[in-house]
Amino acid sequence: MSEIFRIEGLRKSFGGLEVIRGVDLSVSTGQRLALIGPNGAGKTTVFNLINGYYRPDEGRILLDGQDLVPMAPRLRIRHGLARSFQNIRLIPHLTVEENVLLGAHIHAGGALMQALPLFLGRGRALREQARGLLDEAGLAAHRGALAGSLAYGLRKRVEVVRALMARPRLLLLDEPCAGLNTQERGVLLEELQRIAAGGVTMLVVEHDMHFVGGLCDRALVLNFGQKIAEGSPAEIARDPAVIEAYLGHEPERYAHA
Amino acid sequence: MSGYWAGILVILAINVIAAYSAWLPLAAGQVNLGTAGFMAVGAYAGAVLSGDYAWPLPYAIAAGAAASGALALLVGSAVLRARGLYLALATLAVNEVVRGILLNWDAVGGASGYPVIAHLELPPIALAALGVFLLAAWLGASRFGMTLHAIEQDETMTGLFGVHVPRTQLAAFAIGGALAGLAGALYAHHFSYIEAQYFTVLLSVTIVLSVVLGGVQTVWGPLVGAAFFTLLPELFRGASNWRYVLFAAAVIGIMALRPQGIVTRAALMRLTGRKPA
Repeated sequence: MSEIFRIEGLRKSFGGLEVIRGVDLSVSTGQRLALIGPNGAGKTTVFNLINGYYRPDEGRILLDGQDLVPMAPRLRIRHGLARSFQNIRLIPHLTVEENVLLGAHIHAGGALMQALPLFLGRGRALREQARGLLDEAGLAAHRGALAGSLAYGLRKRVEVVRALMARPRLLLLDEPCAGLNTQERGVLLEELQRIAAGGVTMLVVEHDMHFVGGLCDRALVLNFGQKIAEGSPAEIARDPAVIEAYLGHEPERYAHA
Repeated sequence: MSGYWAGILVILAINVIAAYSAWLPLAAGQVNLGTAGFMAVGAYAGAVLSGDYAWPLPYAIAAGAAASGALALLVGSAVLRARGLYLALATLAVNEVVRGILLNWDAVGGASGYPVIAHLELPPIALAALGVFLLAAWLGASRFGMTLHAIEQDETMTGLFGVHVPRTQLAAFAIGGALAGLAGALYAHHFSYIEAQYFTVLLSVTIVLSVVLGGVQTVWGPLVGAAFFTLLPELFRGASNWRYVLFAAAVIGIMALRPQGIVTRAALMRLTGRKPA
């Protein structure tokens, strides 16, 4: 498999505190890599560096061979980087379909195209695409509902569809399980497995090891801004260094992280 | 139609246009307290062109709108970097600068004001208001309108989806400026006399307040807000000096009951028989 995404020697300090201390990672096309680690390990900071919310002190972030670091955050999605958010960030007083259409902004054309009503010009094709994706995700019934009126679990799934509308080369999922109950997690996992089977490459920050095991083929563990382990989710779950990072000492049996 | 009602409808039409001029930036989360300043630019530019330069009325009015739109583009490039309260203060300052210049500029009459010779009656003014409403409805249904709401809610997120946030905000601010200029130019040619003292910050605040009260989520909000602010004081006219008290109480009551404005997207969906959930 060819490599689509690579991080080399990533470092970031806030004041005197070095939060990311030389992280390297690599994701192949079609692969799902989980980024895990205890609270404060630097997972979210890595995401924010990839997004361009922060600028790294050192290191390169290569998507399909191009370094994202000098690129404005707004332009990164044009290069194939889309994400969902840990705390849902939909527009509550717009409909589900309109929210999803925001995801396709980079495909919507120039200023004149954007001044057309959403059902004209290129907007028509994008709307068909949005409806198709919502259909596949089992959200067709909620298409015309206001995003703010949906249950939390449904909103999470709408966020994923919105990110897919950008047709990303790499999909970043920031704690997709956060705030979901067991049943909602199950539905979301099936949904993401279906999307993954379609060949979408993913980088996932997640705490729930069961979820990670169900979705990702590899996991990378961060602690204090450094990689302490990498391997299949099953290997990671047995790794003594990982268990120690989470629990402080070696327990007799692995507990859910 | 009696002269009284024609007069009210003219004021309503001008207030509707002014409301849409404040709505566009407001939909993107930007409070423009300089709206009356932009109206003054449109009023004076239009009046001078139709009077001193004898331009045909439609051209003079269009030029008034273009002039305030251009000023908004210029001012917006500078002040839109400010956020929230700071932006409100910066636009308020713009309003005062414009008023101060007009007040001291003898070529346009200075403090004694400027008489306008050409005159407009209700029909063309109402037509202009209808046109502005249709334009707002068109823009509201466009991707541009959608991104304004997205920016209002979450600038960072909207930017990550590839939206050029500053440019979108500037476009909303400049179109709003042009509409304010249009409202001002129509005002000038109906009332036949303009003075800088009319275009105060208080007028800007009233316009913004009418939009907030009507609701910024849909294109109907500014229309309802402008109607509320124009017609309700007239309905209370029988209460003579108490009418402002009644009006203010009504404003407070509505804000308490409908903090998102009278017209919300959810309310509109219920009204048209589509369930919001």
